[in-house]
Amino acid sequence: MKELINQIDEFFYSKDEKETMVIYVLVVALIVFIGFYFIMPNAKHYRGHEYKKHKRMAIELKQLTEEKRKLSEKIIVLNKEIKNLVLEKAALKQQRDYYNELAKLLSFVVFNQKKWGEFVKNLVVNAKKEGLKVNGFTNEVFSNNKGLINKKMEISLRVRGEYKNLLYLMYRYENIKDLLRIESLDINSNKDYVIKFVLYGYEK
Amino acid sequence: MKKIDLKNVFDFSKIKDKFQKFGENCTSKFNLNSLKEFNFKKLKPSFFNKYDYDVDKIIGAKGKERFILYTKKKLIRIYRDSLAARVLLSSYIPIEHAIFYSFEVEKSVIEKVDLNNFIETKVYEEAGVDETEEYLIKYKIIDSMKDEKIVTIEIIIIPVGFIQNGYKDLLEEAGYIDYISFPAFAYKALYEEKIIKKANDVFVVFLYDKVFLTFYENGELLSILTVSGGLDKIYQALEKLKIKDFGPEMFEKLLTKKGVNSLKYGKNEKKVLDIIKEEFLSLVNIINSQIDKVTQKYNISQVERVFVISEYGNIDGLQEYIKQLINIDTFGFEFYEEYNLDRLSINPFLFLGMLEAHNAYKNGNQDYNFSLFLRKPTFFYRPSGRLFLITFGSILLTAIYPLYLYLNGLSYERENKILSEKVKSLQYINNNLNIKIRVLEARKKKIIQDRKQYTEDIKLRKELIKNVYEFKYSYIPKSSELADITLLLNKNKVYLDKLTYAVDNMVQNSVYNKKKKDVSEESFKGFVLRVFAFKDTQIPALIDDLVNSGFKVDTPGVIYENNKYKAIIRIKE
Repeated sequence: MKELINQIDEFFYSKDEKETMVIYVLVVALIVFIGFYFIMPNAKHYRGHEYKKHKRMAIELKQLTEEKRKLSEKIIVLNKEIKNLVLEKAALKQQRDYYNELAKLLSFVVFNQKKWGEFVKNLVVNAKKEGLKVNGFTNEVFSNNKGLINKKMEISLRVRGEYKNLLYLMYRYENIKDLLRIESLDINSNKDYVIKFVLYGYEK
Repeated sequence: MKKIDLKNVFDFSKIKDKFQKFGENCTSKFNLNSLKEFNFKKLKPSFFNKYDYDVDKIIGAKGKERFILYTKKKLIRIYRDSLAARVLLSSYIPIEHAIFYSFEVEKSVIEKVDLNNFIETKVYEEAGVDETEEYLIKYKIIDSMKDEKIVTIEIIIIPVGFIQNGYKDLLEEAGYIDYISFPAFAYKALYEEKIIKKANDVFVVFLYDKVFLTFYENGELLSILTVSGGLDKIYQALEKLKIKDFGPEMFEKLLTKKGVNSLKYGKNEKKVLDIIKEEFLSLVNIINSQIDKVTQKYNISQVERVFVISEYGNIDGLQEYIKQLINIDTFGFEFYEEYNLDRLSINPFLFLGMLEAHNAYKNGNQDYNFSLFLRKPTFFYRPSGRLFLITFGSILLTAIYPLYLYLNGLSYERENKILSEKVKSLQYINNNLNIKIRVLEARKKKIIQDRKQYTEDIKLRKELIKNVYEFKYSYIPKSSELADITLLLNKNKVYLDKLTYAVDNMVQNSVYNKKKKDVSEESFKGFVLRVFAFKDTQIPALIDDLVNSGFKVDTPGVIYENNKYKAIIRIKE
């Protein structure tokens, strides 16, 4: 290093002032050229890139902050809504449970093939018990399109006997809790009767 | 256990005094004057100075002899470190290597000529030097002649070859010599440094073959003279005595250890002493005659002091002897006494050289510096340093804006990293919030669905209950109605031929007549009774009773047939 410095010194000592000045100017020019031609664009590019990125990120940050605020607000609103809905739901549940309990009392209206089969059997048995002679019967199950009572079973019972016995049988069945109706009746003086019982039900 | 009395350990009164003095010093030092005197240059880093030496520290080197002089501390020490240091490096030219020449010239002449060329020409023409050799010429114009129109020019001529070769050891080690002094000029430093007071002095150096005289008038060089014939005369005289083992070494020892001090000689040595004294007497007489000449020639009344030394060093008893002979105060060359705390054996010319180097650099006067190998300036004062500065400065100036841009970019990059972290964090938070929202919305949806389900269930249950209720209570038991109708038939003695009930009865809208063909059909819900009675009032009474019982009754008519009143009665629900 020392030798290099001495060589540089010796080099300049061998030059006159003008030559020395020219060398200095050339060195300065070279450095300025390198600086402005090679370094400056890179520095500008780097700074510009970072500045744009900064600007973009600042906007993004602002947007995200705003988004966060909105989301937080939304969460608050949702929590409030949910709180209210939960209360409403709880109230409705209570109400539903109440109606469920009520509906349980109406379990007899629920369609049940087996139960309805037994009903037909019992009808015949009970007609006999009432002193009527059963000449025949038909039964058929239909879907009923009218509201919730969507199932029905028609039982046409042909009996013969005393008119009063018929009334007793009718009375007996019209006073059971099931949804039973007499929808057709044919009575004549020959004591032959045709009664059409229709048992209604609800199928879920 | 022995108690220690703190009063004996610490002298509190002394400590108090010291504190007081310290306080006074502080207050006295801190004033404007002291501030003005403060050398701000010292604050400048050494590499900004043209030279990095400290003028108050001077190495004196000559061969193996190396000393360092601290002028502020007034201390001289042996120097063992590297010669290339931040202190001045000095040496001196032995008197015997110099050629002396002086001439007188009119003042008007020197004003007209280029003095350097004039003196150089004179030297080469008149001083008898070898014209083929290069010389280093230093001169002093002495303007103290009695004839005021004339000046004397005292010239010291040193062969360049000697300077180049005589200090090789130093140059190899240090690469430079800051100052090479010559004793005749170096004496001035004694006055400058106030080692001796200004007076009319003559410095006498006995060399082997000559005597070297330097006259100073009130601290300024007046004249340089050489007298041929020196210690060699004494040597030659003693040689004649044929003393055993006598030689230059014995001669040197004899002079320095015994000299002209009669107390140091035995009875059998009296002859030696006499010879030495005799020879010195003749030398001193010559010196004295030179003193007379100088006093006659120059504007001085008398010489007040004589400083004497030989090339071997101090000659014992010589100072007293000379004083005795010429009646002038005579001293040795121990000018360094005050500095020499270590009692070192110091070459007085080396000390003079150090002193002069200090003075010359302190005052910026290099007129009598014989060094041809001066220390190079510090880096920034050399072309390489300038090139470095220009390069560095250009790089710096060129780089300022890009550097600013880069640093600015770097700052943005750093901020971007922070922002990126924040963005990532916010994105993460927002994602979580979105997830939370989705969960909440799902929960809300579920609750709404549940609620809807509950509502539907409730509606369904309600509807079911309602339907069942309506079903149950919208139906009038037919057994009941039949019982009522039967009771009313019996009451009114109306006989039932046939009864039908249907929810969708298609009934012939005709009277009770099978033969009648003119019939119409009507659909309705209710009972159709085919009855007969034996009285005409019985069927209407039945109808009336039925109506009164709440039945909706109508009939197409009553007919009388086969002694019976017959009718079809329709009871609508």
